[in-house]
Amino acid sequence: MSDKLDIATLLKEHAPLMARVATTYEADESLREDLIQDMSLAVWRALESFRGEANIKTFIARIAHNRAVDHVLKETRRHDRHNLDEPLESISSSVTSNKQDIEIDLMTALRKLAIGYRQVIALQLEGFNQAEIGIALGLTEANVAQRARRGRAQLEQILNRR
Amino acid sequence: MDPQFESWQNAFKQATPKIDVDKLLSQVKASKFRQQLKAYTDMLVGVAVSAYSFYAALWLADSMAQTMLFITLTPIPIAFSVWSFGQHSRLWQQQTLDISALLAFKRDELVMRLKYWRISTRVCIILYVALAIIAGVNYLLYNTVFVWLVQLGINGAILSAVILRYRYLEQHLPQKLKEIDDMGKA
Repeated sequence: MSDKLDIATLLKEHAPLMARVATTYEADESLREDLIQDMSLAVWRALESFRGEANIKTFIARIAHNRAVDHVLKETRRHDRHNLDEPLESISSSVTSNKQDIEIDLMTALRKLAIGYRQVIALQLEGFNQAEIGIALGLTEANVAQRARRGRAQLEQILNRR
Repeated sequence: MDPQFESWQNAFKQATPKIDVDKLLSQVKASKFRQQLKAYTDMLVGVAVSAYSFYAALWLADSMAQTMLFITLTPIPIAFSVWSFGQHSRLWQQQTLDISALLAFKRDELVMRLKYWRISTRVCIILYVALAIIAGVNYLLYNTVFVWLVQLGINGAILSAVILRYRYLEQHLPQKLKEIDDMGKA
């Protein structure tokens, strides 16, 4: 299976997904770039064990979230400076400033969610269905639904607080 | 899909940071190459040390005891290199675990690390006490002070470093475990 998957093609297709996952965990631009690089390398190394038991996008999302969790643990220990409220420094320049405000608030709000909720909501926003999220995170569909409901309520609260 | 979620989804997709995929690919290729180079270099060093040990057993040993010592030492570096090469490869496989399994793995890893340092500390203390006894006997019987004081000094420094590392890990373990547990909470 893995020999059919070429890392260059995978990165072209899925680097934006990894970048969005990274953005929901890391506000600092340079640390985020390091994290995206780390995720890409982890995907490449893990491809050797990919047997096609899940969709490749789900496989990549799982690895991206795992590397992000690892990153948060390391950063928390190293500097105790993982600032969840820090605004994003760079986002796509194609959006208008008005849209930019909304996007910054959404991403900042996502970073304020508990990680268990954040992962589910971020994957839903990415377009994954409950079964795929369950596979990516190792949760039952009922658990995914519960986290999605609670996460969404928390997200609304955070966004309405501003 | 409700309009609010749809607007979040649009905002989420539009907030994608700019990525230079070609640059990312070359960085990732360079990182992978560096990691592989390091892994193979470590393996080669292990093979070289084992080969030298075997050479020493055949050509440099002055007595049967030395030959036996070198023969016994020969497989250790290469075995360690192969083991650490395998461990390194397995490290990447843990990234395919689901999040709860990954966190459980990290928890176990921290607990195992503390156990490893606890055992190392005990072994170092036993060795140090044995060395001190030998030093005492040598001092009493042969009055050789300097050599044994140097030995005790060097080993004392190593023992202190091991104890400090163990105490540090022991003190910080509850906090690190809490951080991992907090990650798993929803």
